[in-house]
Amino acid sequence: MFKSKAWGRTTCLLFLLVFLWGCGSEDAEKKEGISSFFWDVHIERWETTPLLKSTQSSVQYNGVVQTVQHEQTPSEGMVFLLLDLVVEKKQAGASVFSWGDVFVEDSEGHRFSRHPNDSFLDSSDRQRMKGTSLNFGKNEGFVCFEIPEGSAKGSLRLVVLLEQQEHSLEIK
Amino acid sequence: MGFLQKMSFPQLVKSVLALFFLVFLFFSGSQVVSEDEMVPIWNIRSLIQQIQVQGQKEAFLLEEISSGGYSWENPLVVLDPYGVSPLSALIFFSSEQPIRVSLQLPGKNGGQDVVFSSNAFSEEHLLPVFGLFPGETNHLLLQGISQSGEKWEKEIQIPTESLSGKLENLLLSVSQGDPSRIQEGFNFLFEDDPKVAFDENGEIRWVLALPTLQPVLYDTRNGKKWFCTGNYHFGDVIIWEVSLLGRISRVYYSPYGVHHDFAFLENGNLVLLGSENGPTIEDLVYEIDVDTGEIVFELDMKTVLDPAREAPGSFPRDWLHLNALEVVSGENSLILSARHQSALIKMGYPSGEIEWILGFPEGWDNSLASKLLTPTGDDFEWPFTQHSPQILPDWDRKPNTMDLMVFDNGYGRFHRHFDEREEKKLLENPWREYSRVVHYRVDEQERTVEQVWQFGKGDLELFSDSRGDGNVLENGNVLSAFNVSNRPYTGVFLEIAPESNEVVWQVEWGNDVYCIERLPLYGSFDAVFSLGDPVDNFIPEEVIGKYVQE
Repeated sequence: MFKSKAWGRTTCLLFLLVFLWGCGSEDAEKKEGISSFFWDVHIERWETTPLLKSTQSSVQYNGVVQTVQHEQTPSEGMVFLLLDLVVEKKQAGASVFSWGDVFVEDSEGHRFSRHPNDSFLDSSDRQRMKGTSLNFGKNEGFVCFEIPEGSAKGSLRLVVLLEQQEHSLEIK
Repeated sequence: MGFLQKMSFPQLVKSVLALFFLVFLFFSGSQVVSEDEMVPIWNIRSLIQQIQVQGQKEAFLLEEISSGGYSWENPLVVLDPYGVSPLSALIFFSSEQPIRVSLQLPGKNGGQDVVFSSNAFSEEHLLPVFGLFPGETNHLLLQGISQSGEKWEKEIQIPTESLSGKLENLLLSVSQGDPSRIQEGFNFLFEDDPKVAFDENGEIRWVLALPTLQPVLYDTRNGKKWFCTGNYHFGDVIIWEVSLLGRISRVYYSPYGVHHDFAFLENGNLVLLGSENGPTIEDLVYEIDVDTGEIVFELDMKTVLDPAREAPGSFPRDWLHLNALEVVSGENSLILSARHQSALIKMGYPSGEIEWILGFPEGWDNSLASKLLTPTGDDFEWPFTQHSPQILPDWDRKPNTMDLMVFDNGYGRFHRHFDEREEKKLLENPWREYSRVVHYRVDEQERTVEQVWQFGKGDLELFSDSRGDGNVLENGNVLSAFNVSNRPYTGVFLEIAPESNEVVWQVEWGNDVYCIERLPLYGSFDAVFSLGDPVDNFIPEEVIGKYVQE
């Protein structure tokens, strides 16, 4: 039917684009951010989920592909809040971005720190932001917070302490 | 057609699109690529992307360094600067006067310290840090000395994250005797990804989080490691050089896959084991010119050996199963290990002329039978389905002999013809097969072979039907890897004192194992460290385009 995979894919993509154009929301996403002298922070996208499932594949010694399934659940009554962040150092110099200074705040003012070991994100399909301090360049990836289900239903803010000043950003 | 009239226009558009989509799926079904085929594609893509990311990260890092804000009092400490080596770091600072710098990371539980010194006085200091402990704050001692002998000392703290995924619980047990009898160094493993190195206590101290195939080449001249990503038996594969810090520096492409092994020839080129997608596999030796990236030589082993010979494990498609090669120094020849012929073969390269065969004598055709070595000595046993030959230094000071250390799997030693059903019995090993590490001495003039030393004979617990290794270390001990058959996903590493066959160190590991090398983390080459050098990327543009756009 199709002479090449590329032609077939292009056609398929075109149809999907038309479909999405027809069904899409009118609101274009605006990315607000936090800005300090050294750092820019913004949220690319976010999601909450009660379960993280993923599949990891690697080529074995004999060329066979081995697939491993992973599943991660939060504590009872909690959900995972996943933030895809961009943390960029816009001014070189001795300033460190520490995850100890990053929180998610719910509508009642409760604050939640980054999951102490969200390395399980490595085995999901998401690129994970490393959990140690950042001190140069443009850093992108997901970070995970465990928050109560009730908090996830209300408004949430990302709070970051930068150069001894608190900045916050609505998660929307 | 009345239902069409009842539909609104948007419903109609959606229905038509859905119909087209279904038709597309139906006709493209024959082109669906299985996950087995997709994994090499994803892996090659992520490697190519990493090379791009590396360039961006280095540009940011150089900008950060040039800010002038980092001093002895306030150094820049970057953990895992390239995002792929989470137990490595880079330290940068300037000093007011030229100083020479050293660093020390103390070992734990009697383990060795990691020590590194720059060898020149300088006002700018860029220091790689290797061997950090995972999941803790590492306390690194930084020392500086001026040309007048004035000394400074300070502690730098580097927190690291815990290891995750399959690396979390790999260590099963460690036992060791007198630490002074153990060769210093870290244990670098061959297996699938991630590649790791662990210390004498079995703790992982280096990880490379990039997709790799099993074959590995450790370049002792510059401390760089070589890995392959992509297809194993045949098809596109990327062969690449990387530092312990995770910086990729040279990259080559081949359409022949890389299974099991590759090495440097004395002309500096790479010689590799691969296959074409034909009626047979694992029987191609080929060479890549490191200056141009071109494949400059191919040797189909069917033209020099007999594909019809049957031996344990062989079947028509995988009749040879080349699993290792060693370059013979000062001669134009290679030692090849052919698992499915249970033979070690010395072959002229590039002539393809067979010089001798160390293998059990049955089934060779007349021309090859004349190349067989004759065994001497009482205890001699042939190797079966062997792995990992290592050419040893001139052990007996006789120029006409060659000493080889070999991992003799022994699969097929007593029971020559396995079928698929019987392979399942390997767990029970009813034939009482055993694996050994063996030192053979070949007298090339007399065309004889003798057995000088062995370890493992009769220990059925160590029987490893596939994979395994044995290397002579600097202190004379033998480091071995047994991929034990009776406990799936278990590897046993042993350091053996050969004069007594005493095990001086043993680690059990919760994963399959192939080969092991005891290597230092640092070499003199690390004293001169630079950032921003261009990557020698020999992947053809059309190949990059295929993977980045596909």
